[in-house]
Amino acid sequence: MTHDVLVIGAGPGGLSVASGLARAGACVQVIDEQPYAGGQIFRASEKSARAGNEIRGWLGEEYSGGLDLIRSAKRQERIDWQFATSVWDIRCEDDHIELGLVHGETASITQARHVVLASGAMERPAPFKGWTLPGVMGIGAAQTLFKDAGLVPENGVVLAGSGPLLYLFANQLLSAGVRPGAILDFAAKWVSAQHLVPLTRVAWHSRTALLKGLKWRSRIARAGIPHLFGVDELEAVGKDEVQGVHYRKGGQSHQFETSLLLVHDGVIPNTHMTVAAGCDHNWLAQQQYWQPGLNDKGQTSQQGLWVVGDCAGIMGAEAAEIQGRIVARNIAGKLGLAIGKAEATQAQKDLAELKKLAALRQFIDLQYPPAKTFATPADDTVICRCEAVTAGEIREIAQLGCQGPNQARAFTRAGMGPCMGRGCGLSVSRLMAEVSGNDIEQVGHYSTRTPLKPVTLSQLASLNDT
Amino acid sequence: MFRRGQEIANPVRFKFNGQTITSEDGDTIAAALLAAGVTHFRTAPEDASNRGPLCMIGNCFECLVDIKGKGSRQACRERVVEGMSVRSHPGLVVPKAQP
Ligand SMILES: Cc1cc2nc3c(=O)[nH]c(=O)nc-3n(C[C@H](O)[C@@H](O)[C@H](O)COP(=O)(O)OP(=O)(O)OC[C@H]3O[C@@H](n4cnc5c(N)ncnc54)[C@H](O)[C@@H]3O)c2cc1C
Ligand code: FES
Repeated sequence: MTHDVLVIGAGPGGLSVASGLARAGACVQVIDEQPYAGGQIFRASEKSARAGNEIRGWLGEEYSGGLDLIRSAKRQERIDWQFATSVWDIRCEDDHIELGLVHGETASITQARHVVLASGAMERPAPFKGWTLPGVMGIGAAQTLFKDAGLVPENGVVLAGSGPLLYLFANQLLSAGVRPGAILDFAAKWVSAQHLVPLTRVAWHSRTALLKGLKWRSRIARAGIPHLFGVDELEAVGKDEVQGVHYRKGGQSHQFETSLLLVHDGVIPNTHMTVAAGCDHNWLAQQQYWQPGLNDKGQTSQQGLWVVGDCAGIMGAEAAEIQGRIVARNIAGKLGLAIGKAEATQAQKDLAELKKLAALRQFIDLQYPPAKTFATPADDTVICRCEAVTAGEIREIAQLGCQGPNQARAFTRAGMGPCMGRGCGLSVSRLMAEVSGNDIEQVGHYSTRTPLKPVTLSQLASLNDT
Repeated sequence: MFRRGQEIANPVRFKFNGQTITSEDGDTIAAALLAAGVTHFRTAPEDASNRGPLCMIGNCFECLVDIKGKGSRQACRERVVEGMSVRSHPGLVVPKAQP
């Protein structure tokens, strides 16, 4: 084994855990399928810094701040970087963990005693009528195009759904000179009475974050962009691509013309790898997602497999960085590496800071719950996009007594396509729970099999040469 | 749908369904196609409907295209290479089996 620790993901969580371990004296390899460090939030940050272009300015301080974290990790000599490399297999053995990697046309196998998953989150799939039309995309997806390629939507783009990302992205667009046609917000305009208590609990120590949110919203209002609150249903219409959106607000239907409909219903942990590795998972009812069960040190139910950042449960980039430092110390301890006095003091601060961020997250989660309409799609809504399986088909087999998502997969082919259930897994579990009246924990989730990412036979054949 | 926030500085040319597309060096194929106004990337095998990128981070596989010499790949993960030839993913329509 050439490395003490393998880290999957070079976002804030992965960068921080790798830096911490390298500083403690461990040999670390960081693997990321992107060609650059930064993860989703700081995607292509180094590329745009090199080009010295305006795009960084439009994306704002939120984005440019990530460069320091990236640069400080890149200065660590004990980190070996493997970019443009995907993890397609993970196997937990008795005393080590094996990973299958693919880079270009070559596959390889690597192993270490400790593996840290820092593979982040994905936008929650939001099924509604017409969402398979080209021109319906995630807000995070459009933001990725902005960061990575400097592409901006044309005027008249519609943003729909809920969460702080709607406001952040609308602000980034305004900076770039783009005027959204409308913002169809599923959230209420003001904090409801029952959320006032959690708000007052976080108001003082999270004032910077809360004020930032208010600033984003007031800029949208000042720019005169129609910002509609309390929207509760969407339908994308068009023949071969999106031409408009129908929505309901206050019990009435309205419509809007657009060639680009960007939707966001929060983000959920990427649990594909932890499921494949056989880790235990818990269902977080309030946010409606699965998260790996972790002990107080950040280790999963599998020996030597650790998780940090949003793939452990959505806490945001700042928390990912802190969790990275904490897990780095815990693994360093297991490796018998000494931790300095300064580090020990930092450990106390980190725990306190993480607690504050958790309280803020609790408020955000209450204010922006997953939208009901995406959780209970109409029968004719496609939920498995790969195999074109509708919500009605899943309800029907659930009524016939189908025993959970894995059997549903065999009956309907939902989850059998190339995305391997990443897009429909949550919907299938939720629909089956809805019909059977059982808790989702009883219903369960898809099992996941290798390969986690597509590998061709010729890439696999290259294993013999290594 | 989308436009470039900045003009192309380092052009790379490739073919999509036989048509020449000029993009910026380092772009993903998906970004290059969307900037050129392409919305239809693949045809869904089940219902022959048009599909295009949804997630841009390699999860949804709606951006599948055929790259000459490489086969079917995710356009949001592959970067453009001068002279490459790309086609939209055909998606052979297969009738659904009745349970
Ligand atoms: C599309 C998108 C855009 C977002 N934009 C913002 C934003 O602008 N602001 C904000 O505050 N939050 C944003 N978020 C939320 C995001 O989750 C951040 O909180 C933050 O990026 C989380 O950091 P992380 O280190 O946990 O993971 P990430 O930053 O997501 O990093 C995970 C890394 O793991 C890599 N990876 C995943 N699977 C594999 C694999 N199988 N093989 C190899 N590498 C792999 C990915 O390429 C990625 O670089 C966004 C989320 C998404 C999905
Ligand atoms: S757009 Fe989702 S995988 Fe490429």
